[in-house]
Amino acid sequence: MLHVEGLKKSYKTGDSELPILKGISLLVEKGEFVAIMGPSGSGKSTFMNMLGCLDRPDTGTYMLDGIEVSSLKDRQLAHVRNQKIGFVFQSFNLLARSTSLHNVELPMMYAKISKAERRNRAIEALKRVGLAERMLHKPTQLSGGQKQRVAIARALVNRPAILLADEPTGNLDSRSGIEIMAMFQELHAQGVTIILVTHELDIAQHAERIVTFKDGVIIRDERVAERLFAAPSGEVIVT
Amino acid sequence: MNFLESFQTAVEGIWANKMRSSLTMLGIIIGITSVIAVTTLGEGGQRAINEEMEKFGRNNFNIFINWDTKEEHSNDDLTVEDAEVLTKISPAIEYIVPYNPSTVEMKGPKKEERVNLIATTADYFPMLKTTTKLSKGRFFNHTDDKEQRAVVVLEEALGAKLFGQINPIGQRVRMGNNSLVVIGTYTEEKFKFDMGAESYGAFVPIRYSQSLQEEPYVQMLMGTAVDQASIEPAMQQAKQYLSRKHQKKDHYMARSMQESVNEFNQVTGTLTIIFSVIAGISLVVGGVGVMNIMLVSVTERTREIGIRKALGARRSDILIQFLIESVIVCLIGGLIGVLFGLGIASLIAYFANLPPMLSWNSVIIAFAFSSAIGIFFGLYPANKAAKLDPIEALRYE
Repeated sequence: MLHVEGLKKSYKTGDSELPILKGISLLVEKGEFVAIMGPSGSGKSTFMNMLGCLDRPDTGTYMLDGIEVSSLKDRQLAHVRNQKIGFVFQSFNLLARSTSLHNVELPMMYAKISKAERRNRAIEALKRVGLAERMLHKPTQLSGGQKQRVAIARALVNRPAILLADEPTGNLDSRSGIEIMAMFQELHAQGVTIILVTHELDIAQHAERIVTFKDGVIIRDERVAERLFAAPSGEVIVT
Repeated sequence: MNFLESFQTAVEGIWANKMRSSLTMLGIIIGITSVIAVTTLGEGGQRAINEEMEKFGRNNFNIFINWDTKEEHSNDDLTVEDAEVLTKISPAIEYIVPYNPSTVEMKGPKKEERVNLIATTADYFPMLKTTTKLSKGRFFNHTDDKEQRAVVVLEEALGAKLFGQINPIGQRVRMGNNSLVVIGTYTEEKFKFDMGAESYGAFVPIRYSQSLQEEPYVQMLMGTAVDQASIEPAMQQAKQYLSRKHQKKDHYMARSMQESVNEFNQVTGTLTIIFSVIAGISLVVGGVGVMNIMLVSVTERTREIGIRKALGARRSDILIQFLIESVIVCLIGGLIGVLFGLGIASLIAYFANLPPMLSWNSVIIAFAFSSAIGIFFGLYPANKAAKLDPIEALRYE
């Protein structure tokens, strides 16, 4: 599903090159729920940008759903982002002036899906995250947890190959955070491939597998021994 | 994203910043208003004056002496007989008459008035049929002219000035030491754009007028061709005949009303262009305002651009979104500007006594111009937006 091999990336700061990723290799199978952890500066955000096709590696290969994306042009990358990747951001990144419905419709507009189908699918996606009755609300009229659920609906609406979540609970209170994790786990149960970046261990433990970054390399990659399960009500169930 | 949706997105963007958008539009409005007002007035005024000039003799032409020639001049270089012969022999000429204008003092029982007196032949009256109407009595005829009768035809208003309530027909007016009998009065449609002071006109037979001169002369010939295509041949035939008759090669010049109209059009056309360019400068300033605001808008919406890119918007999607936005601002500004411009033009036309006018050309040009300005000045900001790096755009606070 997702196969990264020997990924390197460095940034120029003045005259010197600052290496951020020093050769990352990672294989994520379809339907996996992977958490990426690491302190700030470990390169996990840069890695996320690579996975999200927002940036290109200097060297290395990146296969996503059968496509070698590291050599694609801007235009093709935009298409991959649109079709294969669903983003969930820490700061929600909803269009402030638009309704939930319009926000969820947006990726389908760039996919040139007809208006009627777009509407149906957007409503469907909002139902899936339990916000059907709030589809005409604007982001300012929604709570943080609700905003993030709109963002999840938006991320899923084009049926992407992977869901990339970058600190999705970072701006939420713990209860809303757990609700979001419950949603991820539910989606995972439905077969969605999820990659979650976080620096909080108790969030990461909701995933099946934790990959830990440090100084631009992966230092640990292991299955979660004590997995946490979040109830939709916002309570954590330890197994 | 299809065009309609890009259009909707752009309209939402404009609507979200109503105040700013309308201020930006103001620059375009002022620019288009001035361009439209200038071109409409220019074109409309030109048309009105041309129509007027045509009414006063579309096929007319003048024959006069070339004073710059080295050939010797004499008082009989042009004669009354020349005109009479030319009218008979030239197929292209309908009428051609001698024309001696002068300013004289005329005295009636009531008053003395300054008069623009024209000495000519009877053929002149049919040439004036579109503008001059006999109101009492008659015009003079060929016999009056041949016999050098001291008769005069007065403008009706002049008759009223000189004679008051008395019917001037059959009465006498004094002109210097001479006494003339009034045989008719006429009314004439004045040339609408003649800014000269009110003055009255009168006609006398040219042979009578010449009988008063010590050295009789004819100042110029005024002719009318049978139709528009005959103007050139008519002038050629007149010049050829005169050259042969007087044995003077380089002595006669001809000029048609058409040429004067063309020259006038050239001058006013140039003026209109000059003023349009000046007005156009304000349009460019308006365009710079659009660019300025679009740049602010792009910066402000950096994050939105980042979101759209992350969700799959291509560069072209972003470019088109912002370009449509600036074009819409300019087009709305253009529309309002056209309305204002036409309003101002008709207001000026109303006070300047010009007919109401609407120049579709300038309306079309104004719309083409405002879209062009929208594209030209919108392109740089839109391109800036399209080129934004999605990662940095998403990080932008």
